[in-house]
Amino acid sequence: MSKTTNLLVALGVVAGLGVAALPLSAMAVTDNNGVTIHDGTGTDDATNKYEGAVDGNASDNVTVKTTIESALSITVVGDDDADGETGQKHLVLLGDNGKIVNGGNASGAAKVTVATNHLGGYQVKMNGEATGFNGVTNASEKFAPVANNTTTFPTTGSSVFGYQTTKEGTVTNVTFANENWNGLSDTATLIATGTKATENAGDTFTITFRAHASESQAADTYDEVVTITATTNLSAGEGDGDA
Amino acid sequence: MKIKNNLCRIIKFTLLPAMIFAVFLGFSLAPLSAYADERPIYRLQISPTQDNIGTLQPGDTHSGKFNVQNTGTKSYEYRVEVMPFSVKGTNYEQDFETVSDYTVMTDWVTLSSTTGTVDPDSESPVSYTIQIPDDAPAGLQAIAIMVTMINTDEMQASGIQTVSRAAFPVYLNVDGATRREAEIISHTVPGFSFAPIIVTTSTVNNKGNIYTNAEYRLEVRNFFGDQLEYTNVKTENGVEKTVREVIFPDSERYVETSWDDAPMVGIFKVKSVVKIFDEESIIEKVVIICPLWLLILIIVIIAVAIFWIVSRILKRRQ
Repeated sequence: MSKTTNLLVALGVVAGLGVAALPLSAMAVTDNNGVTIHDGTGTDDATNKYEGAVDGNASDNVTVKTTIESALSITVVGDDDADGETGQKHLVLLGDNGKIVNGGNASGAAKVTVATNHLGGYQVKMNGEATGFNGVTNASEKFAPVANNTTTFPTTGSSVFGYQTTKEGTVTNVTFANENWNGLSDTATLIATGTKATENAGDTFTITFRAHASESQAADTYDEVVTITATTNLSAGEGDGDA
Repeated sequence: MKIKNNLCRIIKFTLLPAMIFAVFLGFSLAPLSAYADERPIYRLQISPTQDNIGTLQPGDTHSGKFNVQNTGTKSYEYRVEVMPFSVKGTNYEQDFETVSDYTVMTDWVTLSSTTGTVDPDSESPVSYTIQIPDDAPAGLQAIAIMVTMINTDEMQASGIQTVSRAAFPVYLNVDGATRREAEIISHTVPGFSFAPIIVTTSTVNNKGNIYTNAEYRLEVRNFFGDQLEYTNVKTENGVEKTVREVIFPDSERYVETSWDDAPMVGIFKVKSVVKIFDEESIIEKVVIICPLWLLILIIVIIAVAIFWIVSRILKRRQ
């Protein structure tokens, strides 16, 4: 056999012995005083005050108990949230640094994560302001809400503003009320539901906001506050009686 | 020499790959640093998530509490307010705007505080007291206590500022001239399923004026051995606990109960029970689970077998 083969054989034997040795290190138990408690097999040390019982077992029972109640959490992270813990949060700028070009489109997104252990699942609703997506300096200058269930967001014509929801990753518990573009209402509107408790870190989806500015849209800063509400579905859970 | 060469070949082509595999296995078994999801900076959490109070008398007082919890990394302020609560549609979309005879409880609620601050890894209690008037109308009363994270950031460019909010529904029945009427509009158990899941559906209509908890039982037994394969009824301390869903008055609710971990193939006896007030619907049915590709394969095999038999018969006759 070549020298390389001999070396590899030797390494393989060493690796095999190492893997076989792993469980052996877990058999001895040491108490807080550094005294080794034997498991009773073989010969117990008669001078060890923690000597095991005649049957070879040294054990005691400890009851560990806790209560977890139902909980619901919501996290919203805007595309343009400042890094770290300082700076502006919950922010979605439309376009490049919040600039929309006349005749152009601009968009931005926020990631929403809902987590709950409520077996009946949850709902997420969203609403804008009664004033709509309007100018900061001149509130009468507005972007109209895009027509609900619009498949292709307009790129020409009058100024419009809307949103669309999309799933993140492989999450399967989320169902959207409408997967096309919709206008933002000042009444809380259902955007997503989960039919059961979420897994792991929660269900995450993205809300993309988009605006089209007409050629004559007045110069101003346009903004809107959007409230995203999470709630658990009505469920009596498991029980043995009527209301 | 020949034996030695053969031995070398054996080592090269079997042991070598095995050793390489063992090395990779060793790395994969080595304890890895625990991966933790990164905590968000702001996360609004409430616990518990709703208060299903039951029946109270006019003149009663009820006190409740939930916690606003902070599982993010930065403190936040919040405000609390009471809004009407109802449902719409058979999928029970929740409504926080519609005012009705069932939402006058908004005037009966007192909150311990309307604002608060919660630090990371801590919680802030929100207590509420409901004082039911002596002349309160009988029937359902429902509200939602809203917890809104206060955002003091100012917009400095065109865009959206998002606000996180969690709703805590509170509902009860005021005793008195109550009506318990219901109708089970539909109740179905499919006889065949291509997917490894058995789903029963039902729609119930609460025609009364109080909310109730409708019961949904599902029992699946093996067709051949009659052994119980699945049930959504649990027994705790000798008491049976069934799945129950809240049904508000003057509403219809669509509910699905399912066995999600059914095998890919099987024949089962399914018993589905829906009960609301005194109305009950029981369906017992044989359900076959078979994936579509297997069904097609079986049909093809049967067709080929029939064709072969027929062709043999025709051949013999010739």
